[in-house]
Amino acid sequence: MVKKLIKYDFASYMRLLIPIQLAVLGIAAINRVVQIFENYDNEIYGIIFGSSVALYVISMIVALVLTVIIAIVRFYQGMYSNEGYLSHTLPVTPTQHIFSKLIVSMLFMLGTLLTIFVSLCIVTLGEMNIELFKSAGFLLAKGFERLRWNLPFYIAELLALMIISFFGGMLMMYFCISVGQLAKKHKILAAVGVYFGIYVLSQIIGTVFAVYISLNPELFETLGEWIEANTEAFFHIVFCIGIVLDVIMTGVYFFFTRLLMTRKLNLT
Amino acid sequence: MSEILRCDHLTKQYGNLYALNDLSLLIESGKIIGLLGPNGAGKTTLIKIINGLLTPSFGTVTIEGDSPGPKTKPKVSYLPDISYLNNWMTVEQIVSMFADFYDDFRPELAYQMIQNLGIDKKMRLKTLSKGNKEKVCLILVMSRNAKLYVLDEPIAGVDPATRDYIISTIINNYNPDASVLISTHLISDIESVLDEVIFIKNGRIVLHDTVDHIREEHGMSVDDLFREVFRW
Repeated sequence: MVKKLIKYDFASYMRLLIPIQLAVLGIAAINRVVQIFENYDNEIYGIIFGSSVALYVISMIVALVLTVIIAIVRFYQGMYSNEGYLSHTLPVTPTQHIFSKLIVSMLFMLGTLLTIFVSLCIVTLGEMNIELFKSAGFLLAKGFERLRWNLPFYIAELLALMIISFFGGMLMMYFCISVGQLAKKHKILAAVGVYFGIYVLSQIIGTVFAVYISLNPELFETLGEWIEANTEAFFHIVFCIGIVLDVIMTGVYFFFTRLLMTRKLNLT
Repeated sequence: MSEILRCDHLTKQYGNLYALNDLSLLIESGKIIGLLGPNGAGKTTLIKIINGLLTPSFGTVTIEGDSPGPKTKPKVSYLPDISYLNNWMTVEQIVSMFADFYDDFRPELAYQMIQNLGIDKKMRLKTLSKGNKEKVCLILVMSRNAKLYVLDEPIAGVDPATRDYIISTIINNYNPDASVLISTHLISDIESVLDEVIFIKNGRIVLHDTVDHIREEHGMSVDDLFREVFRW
């Protein structure tokens, strides 16, 4: 059933996101064409070039932001708007709905990142892209080699953290929307309120932790010395703690979202 | 005849307001039942609870012994009182979607009925008229070979010709072993096809009887009895 859900979720995301991704590529192509007529002495060319670069940068940011927003909106529409009357009467479990939406969101986020990568290739076409990527890779490897750090290990940790953070972030949004729909009126506003509530709570916890460390100068100093002596281990620990915390929070948000969809559905 | 739907002491409360108030109900298979009541009586609330779209404050609902959930959804074919299909989809896509998810869906029957209406299957739902969109929704619901059909206000807000089409589509396509629960307040249009009626008022059932028995005992049509029971 998840496969079938993915098929229809994919189609609904595609009609919204493909035009945005094509727009990024189109703007990148325009930028590349503008570069062909390179003439920095000409003031008008400078304005056109500057505008095309600004437009290109904005288009990348907009594409990334919209990919996330569309993923959130599609969850709300699919589960709690009129469309929910169909979604929740299909012989499908809430878990399958959540998995389908998460997988499709992740695929489209990868799609947008790939689009941005391709657009960078277009912008630098025939000039510096191969050298740029080669030299960036070379410098990164050299840097890690000098530090005697294990580059593939860091990449694996970073990727795991990014994937888990993405799922965790999406599930937090799903959780906020699912709590918001319990409200009699202003369901979206209630969801936004829940989001800010969680944000404020996490900031308070972070601040309390920071204050605790700063109020214990001995602990602060010992920690500083240990980090200096074991920098590589420190980064691994930071990554691993990040992954573990994200996994826990992802699990918590998943559990409560599923619970609300199963036991507290309130389609009015 | 076997039991298809059972509601025991079903209550749905919104603050101090009771949308359903200690409602108990038993529906057997092979019947067409009218769920009749004025606006705000609790018809849609009951239907949503049967379909698992609302959670009751108290009481239970079972469909063939199972609470609303993934096990009951393949058995219940539901037509909501709102437009619930993705407007960007074509008629063909939505038929494929139903065929993908419901094992009891009969796509050839759906396409036949769509063709009879002269609707192009390549058309997007948003390009269809309100009447045709409602007909497509009904065709999808009635093309299933379900155990229980739950139709919420299927004939409200449509012209008399469309009303006749809708009623004949229901009668000609439902699984005879199944039950059909039709919510409406347009009783005279539907009375002739009903086996039983349920009168619902302020979230409570005030009458549940066969149409024949109502005529015998009260010497009047269901429509007349409804006007008498719900007179202001």
